[in-house]
Amino acid sequence: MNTAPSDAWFSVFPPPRIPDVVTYVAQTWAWLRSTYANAVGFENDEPTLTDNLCEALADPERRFNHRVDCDFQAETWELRRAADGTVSRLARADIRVILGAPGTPHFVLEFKKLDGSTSARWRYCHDGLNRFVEGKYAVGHAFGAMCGITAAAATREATAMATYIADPSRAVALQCLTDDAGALITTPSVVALSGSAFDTHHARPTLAPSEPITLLHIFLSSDPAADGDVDAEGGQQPSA
Amino acid sequence: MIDLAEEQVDYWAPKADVSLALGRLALHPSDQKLLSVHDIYAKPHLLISAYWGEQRDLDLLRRLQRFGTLAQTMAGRPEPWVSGKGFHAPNLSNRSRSLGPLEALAFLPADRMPRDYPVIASDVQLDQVKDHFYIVASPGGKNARLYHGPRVILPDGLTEEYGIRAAYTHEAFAFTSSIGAIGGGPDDEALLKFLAAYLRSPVATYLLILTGYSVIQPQNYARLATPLLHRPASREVGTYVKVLARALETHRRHSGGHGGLNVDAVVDGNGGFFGAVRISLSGENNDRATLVRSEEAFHALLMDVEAAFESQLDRTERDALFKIPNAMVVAGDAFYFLKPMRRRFWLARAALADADLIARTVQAAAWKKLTS
Repeated sequence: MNTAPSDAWFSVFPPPRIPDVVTYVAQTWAWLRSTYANAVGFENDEPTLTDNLCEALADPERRFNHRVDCDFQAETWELRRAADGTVSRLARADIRVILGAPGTPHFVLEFKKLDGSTSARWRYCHDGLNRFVEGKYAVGHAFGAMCGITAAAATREATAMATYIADPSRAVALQCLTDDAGALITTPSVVALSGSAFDTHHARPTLAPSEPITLLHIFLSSDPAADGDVDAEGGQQPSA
Repeated sequence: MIDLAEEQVDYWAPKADVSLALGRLALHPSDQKLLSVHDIYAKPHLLISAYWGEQRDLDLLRRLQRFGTLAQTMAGRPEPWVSGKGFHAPNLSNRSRSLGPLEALAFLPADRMPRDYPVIASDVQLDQVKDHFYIVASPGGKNARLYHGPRVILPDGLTEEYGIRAAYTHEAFAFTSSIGAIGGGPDDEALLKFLAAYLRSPVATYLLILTGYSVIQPQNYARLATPLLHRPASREVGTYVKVLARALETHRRHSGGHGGLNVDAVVDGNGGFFGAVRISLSGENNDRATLVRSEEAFHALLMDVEAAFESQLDRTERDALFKIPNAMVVAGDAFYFLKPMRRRFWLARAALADADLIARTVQAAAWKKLTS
């Protein structure tokens, strides 16, 4: 028989907060880029980039040094079972941040490569972000994260993506909600100021529970020379 | 199409020890694991690993696998290593052949494998193959390559302590198919010696138990009564308490938490079947770990647990009826474990798993509150 511990316990074993996790992801990416540049080279495919990043994130020593006491699991492929019972594998690229065993709360980061083209931005939105909206990820959870990997400056891609999502017809398709200030794009991020470029909010009317989800948008550049405008804290707000 | 990303398997691996002791089907909570279908599909050995292993064991396996495997090392050497079995004695299924390359070789019977010594050196006294066989079914040893040069040989089966009886040699001799060998080039002599030592080590036994399909089956009913089923000594319970307190302190430090904890193990003299552990907030900064051996204290603790059960009875899970009633109980500001007085539940590794469970339970509850 397990029941929830009282709040008094939360100060003894506090969980990592989402801003801590996001900062940890950005700092680990920067460490990989300066130490093992090939591991995060833009020429790699998304599952390879995700796998390499996740391996570094999962390193126990690094986790403990950053006080991020949770598991990172790369889901670089998924299983689907067809009506006839056969199972197939499909490539995908996401990392789950998990506290404890399967079934405990988790936080999903979905990765997409962005080469500056419109088609890459379309995939980011309609073959990535939409998975949170349609309930493929994070059902019952209030937060998730989209990570765009770019060869250009992170800030430039963040600005372009914010404009792309805010396009009226796209905002409708992605079930975008406005924030308290009436904006579709919340910048700077309210949830993770130092690691997320901006936040977006999305209705999920087809799900149960149907509470909306807030998505953090994180941009990681594979080119240190192009990434000069990321500040020391990992901040990457899009330019106005 | 059904997405299996979220599908989970409730994996129960009850051990005969407690079931037999209680005379009914019983499942200890530490033998209940929740595994994802995704992980089982990717790593079929997970069902074996999770049989005895805790999350820490699975994490260690995952980390070790990143360093590569023996097979990868064998294939990656400048002169790739080969592995294989010895020659097959004549049998009815295969055509008999002449000794061929075995004609001039010495012969090591399986029962001459050294029991304790890890090397077969030049002083070994051996007969010739032709003293025992005049025909064979096949020469084996990957076409006799494994009868010469630096190599590790290992017979089928394990020692009583689940060890591998590996030995290093560079003497020329052949052996039958009940012995296997891994051989490499002359430049890899030192590495092959290391392999023999590694295979004989407790590390290899540990990995075998966690990944080998048939290693841990008891040979007969009498062998179910392993030392793990014995009553823990007071010293062992004391060690459990210390390790639990230390592991909780480590979790608190790694997560940046604060606040003292009291860890008390309470056992009912020398005769009780159960012992209990209470982990509570001290309200101070200091930690305290104690072992209390008192019938009175044990019953007082049981009263606390019983009160917790009564107040939360409506939340009792139906399947809890089929488990030993020692699931972790959270009551007020304390966690309780009720444990059978069997060594398996009072080992240092059990203390680490219990500390992990407490920290994860608290963190998951806090995370859920923060993010939902």
